[in-house]
Amino acid sequence: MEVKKLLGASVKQRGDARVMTGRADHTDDIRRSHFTHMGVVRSPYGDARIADIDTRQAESLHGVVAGDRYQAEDTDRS
Amino acid sequence: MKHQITVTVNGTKHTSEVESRMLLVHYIRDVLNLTGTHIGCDTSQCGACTILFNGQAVKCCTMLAAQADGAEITTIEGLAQNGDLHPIQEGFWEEHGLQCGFCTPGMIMASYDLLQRIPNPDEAQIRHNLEGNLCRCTGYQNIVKSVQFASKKMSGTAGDD
Repeated sequence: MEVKKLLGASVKQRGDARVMTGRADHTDDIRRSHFTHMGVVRSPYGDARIADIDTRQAESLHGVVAGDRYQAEDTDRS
Repeated sequence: MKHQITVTVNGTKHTSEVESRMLLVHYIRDVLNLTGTHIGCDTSQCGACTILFNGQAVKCCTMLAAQADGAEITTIEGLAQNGDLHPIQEGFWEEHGLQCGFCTPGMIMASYDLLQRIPNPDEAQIRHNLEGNLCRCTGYQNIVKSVQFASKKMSGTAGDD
């Protein structure tokens, strides 16, 4: 794209062609082999203390690689 | 239970076995790898997953893939012909009808449906007909202008103003 004038000129966005034609990669569109997927389990309580998280049942499922590795423990809210 | 479906997507015929519960949007994105059709809300509110289903705009996150057997589908990837952008795509580019672009494919497909039914819509008609498509970046001013651009271009009067 040739830009003859910068001040007062209308400049066409460069990335837009990919967006217009559906070829833009938003995070959910990225496809690679051997992806590990994650799911976030949120508390059903608005204000509560986590006493215990038992992930044994989740980990026993086929294909689950980590159930306990990324627990929020008791997130510091200060 | 599996179903065999044959669907024509962007002119190409696909025959696949799909689970009963598979959503059409997951079929399009994960089986056909056409990721231009987005999943914004999963509840048919946002319109990011809008496609043309037998010529009509449909939010494909609330359709089952099994329901698409025999259908003709156009997704955002199928709108440009031989490398030439469709006038609606041009309009969104020219009039800055987007920022992040997440809602854009759905907006464009819904606009396509609108302009088929109403070739020269006024602003109120554009806003009314795109009310099922949400944009969280721009507000809708430039989206309206984009559709107006396309409408003029498609009726052969664009380019002069």
